[in-house]
Amino acid sequence: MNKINQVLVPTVFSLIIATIIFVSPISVKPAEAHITKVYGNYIVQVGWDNEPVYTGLLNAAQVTVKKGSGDSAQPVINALKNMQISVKYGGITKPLDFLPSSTVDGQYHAVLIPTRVGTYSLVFSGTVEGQAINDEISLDDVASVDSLNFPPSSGSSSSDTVNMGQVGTLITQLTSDIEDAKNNADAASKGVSNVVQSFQEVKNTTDSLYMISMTGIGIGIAGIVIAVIAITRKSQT
Amino acid sequence: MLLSAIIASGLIYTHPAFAHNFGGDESASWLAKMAEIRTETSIVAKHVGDKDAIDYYSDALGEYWNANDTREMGEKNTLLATEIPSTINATLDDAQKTGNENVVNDDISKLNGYLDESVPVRVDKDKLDNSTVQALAVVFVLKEALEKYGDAVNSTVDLNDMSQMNMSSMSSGQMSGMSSGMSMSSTIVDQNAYENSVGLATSAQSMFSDLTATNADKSAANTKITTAFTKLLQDLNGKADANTVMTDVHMNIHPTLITAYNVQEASESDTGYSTPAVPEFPLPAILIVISIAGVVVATRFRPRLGF
Repeated sequence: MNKINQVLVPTVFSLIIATIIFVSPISVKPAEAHITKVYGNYIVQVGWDNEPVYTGLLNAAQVTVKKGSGDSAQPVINALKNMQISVKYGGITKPLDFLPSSTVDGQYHAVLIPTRVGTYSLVFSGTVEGQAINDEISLDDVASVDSLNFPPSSGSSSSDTVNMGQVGTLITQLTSDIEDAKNNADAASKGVSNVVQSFQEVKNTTDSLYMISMTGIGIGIAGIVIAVIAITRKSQT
Repeated sequence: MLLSAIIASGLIYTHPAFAHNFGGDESASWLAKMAEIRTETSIVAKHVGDKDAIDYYSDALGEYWNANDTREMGEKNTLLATEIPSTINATLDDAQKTGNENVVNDDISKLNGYLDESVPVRVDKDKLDNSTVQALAVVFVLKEALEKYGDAVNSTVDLNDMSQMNMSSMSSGQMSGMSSGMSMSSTIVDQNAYENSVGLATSAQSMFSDLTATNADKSAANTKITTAFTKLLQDLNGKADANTVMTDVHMNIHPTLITAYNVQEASESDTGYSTPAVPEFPLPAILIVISIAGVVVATRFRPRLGF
């Protein structure tokens, strides 16, 4: 019995450790980055542009639509023509405006800044080339940006006061810069307007001169004709 | 005295041109451009293997999508900046070389997808939903239709220049937008341009039809413009004379469209399209001829005229 235990216990113990070692990476793996779903002959893949996702950071919901299956699936151009997509967080939804990707055919992005930690999902309603898609697909969970912050932004009230002071100064400076830029733009606009007006005046003058010169040419030619007639008559008499 | 009178009459004749010039809103221009490219490629599909027609539409498409459009699109979306011109070229190549209609139709389907995708990239959402911008796009497409019809009938006047309309030949029916049923037919000298003008006018009609769907509150104006569009298409299909077609657009469509959709008429500097206040050739030449004729008449009949 002891001999059995001497063999069995380490074996079971080893198995448990091995299981923990092999299984733990799977269990702690973050939620799958991009979710793929199939609707008829169409494959729809959703996810975030930048993963992992943190609150307060600029990101974008990403949708890729392909037709077919496996590696031979082809991107669908203008796939979202008849599709409305909203982002959903808890009970709140917001319609998104998707724009085509600059690099991948059949891929679309809608810029978004997730503001709260948790699960977001995309709600599809419509058709892709006649294939109805009415579904809700969850996106990768959003984590708090605090996990990236260093040093922590919360806690000391004095540091908050300092930060607020710095933000205030920055805002004042930005406001001043914007005002300057606006004044410069106004001045430039006025300058352009003056140039256009001057150009129009020059054009009008040129038009008048053109007309006068043409009239002069007419009179000149008429004069020549008169002279020719006069000379002809004189020679006849 | 007579000479002075002739010259003075010539000066009076040089009044500034009277025409509808529309502001060059970039969003409307883009919407119009997309409709024009779609129209041209759809006609290419009807002429697969016809080298002359494809050459014509190659030139037309080159006018609607040029290097500047590629550059501007590249600032927003590099994929579309590459794919739109390359798919246009592929469509033309396949239409000319392969002669396979299915291949050409696939190209066109792909191109139309890219063109649709380019709209929200290039046009802000508020402008895209703006009926004035959409109405202006209709006007721009109509302008192209008139230009092509002018080429088709080899017109000596610019059909987009309202001042060159022959107002005296218009019946009251034409003025009020009703079909008079009496218009001279024209000889088509350029069949491709003719087909193109009908295609563009049909496209403008379709764009306006889409516009009416979202502007039910303008039903009276919409009905009037819809009727005017129907007459325009009838006249184009009937190869009506240039003046009748100009009347359809300048008298029956534009005024109602301007008031109903608040389309702004703009100065020449805004549109880039000018109607010269001083005509470049005919008037000075006529002035000189009349001056000479006047002097000759004056000298020859001087005794009878009493001076």
